[in-house]
Amino acid sequence: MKLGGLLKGMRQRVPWSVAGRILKELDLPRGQGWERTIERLMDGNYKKKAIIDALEMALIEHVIYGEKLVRVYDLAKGEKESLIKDLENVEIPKTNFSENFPQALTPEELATGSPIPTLVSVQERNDSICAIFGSVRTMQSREAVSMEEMPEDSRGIFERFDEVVGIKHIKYEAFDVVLVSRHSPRVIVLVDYPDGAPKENGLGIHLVVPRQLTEIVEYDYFTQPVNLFPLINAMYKTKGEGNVVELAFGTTTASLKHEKMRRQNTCLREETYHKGGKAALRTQIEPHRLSINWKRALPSGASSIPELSLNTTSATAASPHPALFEAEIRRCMDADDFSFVQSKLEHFISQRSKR
Amino acid sequence: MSVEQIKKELNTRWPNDATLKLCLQIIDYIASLPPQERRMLTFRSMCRAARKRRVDSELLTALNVLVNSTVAALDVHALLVDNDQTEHELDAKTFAEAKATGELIHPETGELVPEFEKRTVPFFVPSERFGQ
Repeated sequence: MKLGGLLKGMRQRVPWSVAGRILKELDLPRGQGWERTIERLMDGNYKKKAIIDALEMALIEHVIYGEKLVRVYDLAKGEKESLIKDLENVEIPKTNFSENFPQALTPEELATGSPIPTLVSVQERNDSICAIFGSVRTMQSREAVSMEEMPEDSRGIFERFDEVVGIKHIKYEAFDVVLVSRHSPRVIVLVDYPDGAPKENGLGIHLVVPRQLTEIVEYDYFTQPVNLFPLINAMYKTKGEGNVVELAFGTTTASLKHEKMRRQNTCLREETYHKGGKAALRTQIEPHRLSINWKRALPSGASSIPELSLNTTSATAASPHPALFEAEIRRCMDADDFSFVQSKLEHFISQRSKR
Repeated sequence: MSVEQIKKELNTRWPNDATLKLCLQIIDYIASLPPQERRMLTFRSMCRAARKRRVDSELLTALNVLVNSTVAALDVHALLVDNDQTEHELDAKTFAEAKATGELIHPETGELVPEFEKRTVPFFVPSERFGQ
């Protein structure tokens, strides 16, 4: 695999804050933004096999674990072993996706690529087996259009507007994953969920990926996904469990609050206004959105900061049987980061089962 | 460096200056706040500190002294607001570099932010010199 293709693949999917940490851990230079970083790497002496292999590994791990909308499914007795066996023996069809993997598709391939998730690879990572599906998806981006860019004779139409906004449909290659850990009694589906992608699309894909795998292995391993709603309150109330960086909740005084505080090493649980507000109530707050991040030390002395979000609405929280089936897991640098967040999820799921 | 030392420096460098009174007022106001409540001081907070209804040239001059002079009591951070209203905090170094070079790299996409001045909202944080 070539350095240019790898960097292009990373630029398309890895958040800059995460990419910077990956490059630092690999002892590679980083410029201001992607443009200059790619220039520096392409112009320097960075085409050695060891560097290419390390970057390829980082890209594959991001494809599997980076920026995901996740559902967790319980497996019946014996199903885990049988699913692992099925995945180990599955045949990968020859497609543009599987032949290029993990490099990004060309613009031409993207234009004609299938939107239906197709199996592209099966990989073993951190005692987990992962079936990776590739597909082409579309995301909207809104950009201001300056009057100068418009043909002169068309400007009159827009005269009465202060600002004109254009909508771009951006096609991107998405990777969704079915993951079975040898240490977990559950199977996890990870749908690509880049910043700005509509949640509805992610939810739709969550219906498709299990169906695709069921068709391939001719067995349906996916029953009802685990309800993660009880985890919102349980994790919020567990002091010291990461830093709460976003929280939305209702109160019995009929107010809805949405708090955010993403500065490093600060936690909303301990924030003065938050504590003061709670102390003034005789009732408990009812959270319906929660983001927690954890600072994890890296060998270089820097840290990675994976983040878990459990987001639903106040209406769902107020309903008689509140349910939330998806968790957002972002800013994972690698398999270790994801396994760490997964272990937190599984711990709280198990606690819930014990009650 | 402590608040008293900062005030001493201000007194030495700008004696009898009209700005001095305002600078000291702002320093005293910030020093009176618990550390947790000094993390994001907006222009509105500064109006309160200076007992002014709105930002005027006097207040801007005082802030300029507190940020850009050798006193360096305050750092300027900023919030970058995306089209979808997602906010990203920019630290003092990133924001200062963006202002100096005219280029801001988006902290999440790693791409250039066009017309970043229109999409950033500055705020103030006591610098390391200010101490706790």
